[in-house]
Amino acid sequence: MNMPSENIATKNPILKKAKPGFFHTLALLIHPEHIRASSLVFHRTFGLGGMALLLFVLQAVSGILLRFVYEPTPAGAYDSILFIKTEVIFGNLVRNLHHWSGMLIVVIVFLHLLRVFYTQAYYPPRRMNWVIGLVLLLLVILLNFTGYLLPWDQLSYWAVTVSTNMLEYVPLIGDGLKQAIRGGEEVSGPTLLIFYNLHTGVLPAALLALLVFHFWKVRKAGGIIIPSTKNRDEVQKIPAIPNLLEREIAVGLALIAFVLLLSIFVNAPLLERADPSFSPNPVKAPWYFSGVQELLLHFHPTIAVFVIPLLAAAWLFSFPYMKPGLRSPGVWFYTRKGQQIVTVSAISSFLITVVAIIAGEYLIDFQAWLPGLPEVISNGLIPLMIWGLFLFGLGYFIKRKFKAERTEMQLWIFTFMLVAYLVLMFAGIIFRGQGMALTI
Amino acid sequence: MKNERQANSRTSKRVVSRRGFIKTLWIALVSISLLELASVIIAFLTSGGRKSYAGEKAEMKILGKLEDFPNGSVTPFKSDRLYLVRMDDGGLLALSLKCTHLGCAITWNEDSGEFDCPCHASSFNLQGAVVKPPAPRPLDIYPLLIEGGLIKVNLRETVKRKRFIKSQLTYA
Repeated sequence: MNMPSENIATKNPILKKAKPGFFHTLALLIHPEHIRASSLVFHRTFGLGGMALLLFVLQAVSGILLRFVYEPTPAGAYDSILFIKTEVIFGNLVRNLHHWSGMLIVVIVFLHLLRVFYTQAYYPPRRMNWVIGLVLLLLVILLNFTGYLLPWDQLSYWAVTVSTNMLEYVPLIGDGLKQAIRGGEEVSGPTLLIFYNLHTGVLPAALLALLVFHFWKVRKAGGIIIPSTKNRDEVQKIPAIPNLLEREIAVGLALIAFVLLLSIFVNAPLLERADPSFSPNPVKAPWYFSGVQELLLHFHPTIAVFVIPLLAAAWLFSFPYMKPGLRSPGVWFYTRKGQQIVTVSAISSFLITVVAIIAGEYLIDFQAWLPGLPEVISNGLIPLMIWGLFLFGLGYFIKRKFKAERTEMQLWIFTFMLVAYLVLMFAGIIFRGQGMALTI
Repeated sequence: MKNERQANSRTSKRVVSRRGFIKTLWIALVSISLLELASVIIAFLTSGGRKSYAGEKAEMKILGKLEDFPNGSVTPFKSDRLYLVRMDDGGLLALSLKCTHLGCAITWNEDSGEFDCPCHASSFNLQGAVVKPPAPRPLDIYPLLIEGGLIKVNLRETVKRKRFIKSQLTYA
């Protein structure tokens, strides 16, 4: 493995050797000299981490530009957005770019998480990086959410009103948390200032610091995860520059082209100026929270916004620390059986969630069936326990049927949660109309 | 050297080495300074972050003359974010515009005689009690005062309630 790179290069004419220069040295800031040949295969990572980094840079550049014109006050915010849209040269393009790449970064970071999970890249030495990655995902969502308020139009004002109001249902500290984040009782001037400061100062700084940590841990783990193999061609080390760099530039340019085209042809939404006395119908939370908003229609708020998200987050943070099961690092879905389990899990989760949403809309009404009990029990704990038992039973059945071991059951749980949330999210985005009634 | 250490630990475990003492001192000093830093940040944010900027609203605000609101009327005060309801028996109630579910602004529906929330389809009756969930509790109210034929409202005090009771109404 410590073969000099020249030997490989002469053996394999595809691999080129770069002459060190200024840009070479610059690229070495974030790249090792040599990488394993097989980590270049595109479907190992789909370049998702690199794409997320590029989008972050795009966000920083366009965000700093917008910051020169934007005014973070309720009186001035909307007008400054109109000014950016209509008067500032390339203003509309920069705003669209910031909007679309901000949306895309959430999607890409999420896909990156899926890649890491399904290739089992969360055991040591990558375990801590899994946790850092989850925090990074949280920061990206918070960045998007704090940016959501800044246009101060009807869409942003009411989306942030309903989302921050969800905090009220966190037991004990909920009300204080809501007031702290709003800087008062209502979404108003102080809220805008707080969100602006978080969006353009605190959160990007935190994100940048953690990103550096994230990359360093990737390097310490010896690069990206690849399946263990005895094939000599695959374990060969080749120079990262230009072999990796060329590929990164190709993916990066394609991504920039895509975001630019999107920004040229599709405008970022802007409704009327925010009016605190009039809610549009329907009011929806930002799209990535609309799964939680959908849960709110079916469960008591404390269960929907606190208990269920907390259980899911606790599992995501802790499962790499549980007793490890079968390992086949870097192989998508681990095994043939793993692929089957993922398929079965995705299909059953899709069907069950769809049926549950429709039944919840037209048939199930625990509150009316159990009128004597407080809502947090009748429409909260009881359905939650029924769901828990049902899912546990289903999981047990799958375990028996497939003779699945620990890692394969983790696949089952993760896929089930993932698909259920996606169904809830799309139901909230697409199929909820006036008064949040189900419209198909 | 090794023997000495073993002897030390055998005679008494409480013997603190010079190095250990200084290390503990350092940890204590760093914790104290971190606590100081945290309290400065918290004090700054809590005093500057909201109270002063949010502004003090006038304590009692005049909504209008009593005779302008006939029995059985519902009048919106959009800028104050409330509805003034006068019941058929003349009792007055100032209902907050905020739905108790997720804080959307409710609207008065003349046809059904109910307040509707556009966000999750909760509705409330004239007294502000929940007719249709998911809203968990009745609409909040503001204390009213009738002085010299004028209706005044205290916007600074939002009253949360579990159910409607007659004593929440204000009579002339």
